[in-house]
Amino acid sequence: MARNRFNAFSTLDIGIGLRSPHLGQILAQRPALSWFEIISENYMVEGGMALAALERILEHYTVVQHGVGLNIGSAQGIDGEHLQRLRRLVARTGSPWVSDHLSWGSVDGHYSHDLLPLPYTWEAVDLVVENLKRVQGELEVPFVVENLGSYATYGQSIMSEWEFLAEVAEGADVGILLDLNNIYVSSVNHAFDPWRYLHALPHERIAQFHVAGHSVHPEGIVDTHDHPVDEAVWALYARAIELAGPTPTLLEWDARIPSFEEVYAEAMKAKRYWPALEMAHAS
Amino acid sequence: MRAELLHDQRVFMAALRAPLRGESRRRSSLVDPDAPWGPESEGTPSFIRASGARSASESFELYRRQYWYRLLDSLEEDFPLLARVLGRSAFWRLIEAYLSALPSRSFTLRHLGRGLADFIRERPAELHAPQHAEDIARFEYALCSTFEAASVSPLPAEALKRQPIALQAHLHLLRLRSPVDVLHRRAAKGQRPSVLWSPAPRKRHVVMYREGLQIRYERLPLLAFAILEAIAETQSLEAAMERIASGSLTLRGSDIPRVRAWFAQWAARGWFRSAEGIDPSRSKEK
Repeated sequence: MARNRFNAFSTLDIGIGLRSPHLGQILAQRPALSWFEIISENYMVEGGMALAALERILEHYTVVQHGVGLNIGSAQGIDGEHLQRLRRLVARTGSPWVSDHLSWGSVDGHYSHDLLPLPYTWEAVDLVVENLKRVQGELEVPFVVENLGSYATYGQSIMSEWEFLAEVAEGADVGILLDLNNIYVSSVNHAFDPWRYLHALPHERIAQFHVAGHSVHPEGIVDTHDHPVDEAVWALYARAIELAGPTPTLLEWDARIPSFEEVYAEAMKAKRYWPALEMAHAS
Repeated sequence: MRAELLHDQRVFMAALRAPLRGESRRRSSLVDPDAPWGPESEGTPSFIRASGARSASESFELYRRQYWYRLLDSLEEDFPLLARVLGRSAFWRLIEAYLSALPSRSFTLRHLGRGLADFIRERPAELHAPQHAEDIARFEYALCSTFEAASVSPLPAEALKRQPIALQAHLHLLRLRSPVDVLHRRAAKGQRPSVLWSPAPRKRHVVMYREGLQIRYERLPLLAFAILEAIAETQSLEAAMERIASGSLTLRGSDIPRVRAWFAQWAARGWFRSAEGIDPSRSKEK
């Protein structure tokens, strides 16, 4: 179930987000890690240092692309130029699948540089499915959609977030990148049961997991990726991986980034939930 | 129905970009926490609903803070010298005015500061920015551009006369009126600039480029700078030298050996490339 057509039947296990403070150490020491995730938009450049570093990483590691700018929820459709930039980058990296968020972030050529939520309506489902079908038609690798950590909801929503995610994934026939921290963040901010969310999803479509830390503010929880993973999120992950099976898992740590050793140790905590799981799935 | 979604996204974006107010503003380095705008609840899109224990405006305000804090932090990261020389409050005030007038039109935060130097130049009375602020902004954005620009197969010195030539994309020619290059070099050595930095105006001609994976910059003699500028604009060695000869600079016979030495050095550094496919009207900034 976990190695499926949405992750190209991948055997990748635990990965880390590739971040510039760690680049030198990674290239010098070549830590034992099966894969790194990159933010696609950071490498949509003509040349320069970022691409040079990426080429060296690709010599030794599998790299999987994760985007923040495809805007699959945009009411104005997919930006064709951005899609072509993405295609060219996939050709360079050989990313076995590509992901981006169930969100929008730009309108009329203005960019928010954020992942903004959608109303959970049938109109929005139809819009996103149409956009995803265009993306799938252009990319030659599977596309996977990630759930958001959100802070606001729309009055016109008529279904739950998990229902919306499931309808989009089924309608467009895409995989799901299930971010357990985002489920937790949204569940606190919007007062729903995260376990209900987790159990309601089509687990056979889960291609990848994200785990990450968050920040707690009086106004709500924010998906900041700047702390260790909360135990409540690990609990969700433990159950999620029971439901989905051994699945590529990525630790995101994007701000107040500590040493590579600390990030690596945090990522490897996911392995706590793997050994018994692999035995169970092997039998 | 798609039109409704588009309308809502436009309303959401407009509300997002409204200036911070109230508590959100107080938490930032922006001055005037009680500036003319009202409390945070004003401007929340009507389609946002209360969620959990938060009101609709409290929920939406998290996005507005993220928008402004993310962009302000990004620009402070790209323009650290400018932030130090202006002081944090003045810098954030400048950036707020800049982003309000010129919101981001690129998918990447790397391009967010692209128009900042021109914005400062075009609004001297409005911004009250010191004269060297424009130079600093231009210099620091050039650093960003040099970092990510392409580098293609260079032309050897013997090929320069035979075909249209251009400068590598990572080369930036900067006409400055203040010693920003010296300021940056000192800052790189740990000497933090002061808000009191107020250099005497003095023209400087700086070339910034990438050598391997290192960004370098150096001052050029005016003649050398003018030659490179002319090559960028004419895409021809011959036309560039004719422009120099007919211009305001005096090109003496005694200059020939050093001009030849410059070309040999520049070619060895890989500064020249074929001009095929390059639009000369988009030549280097000044």
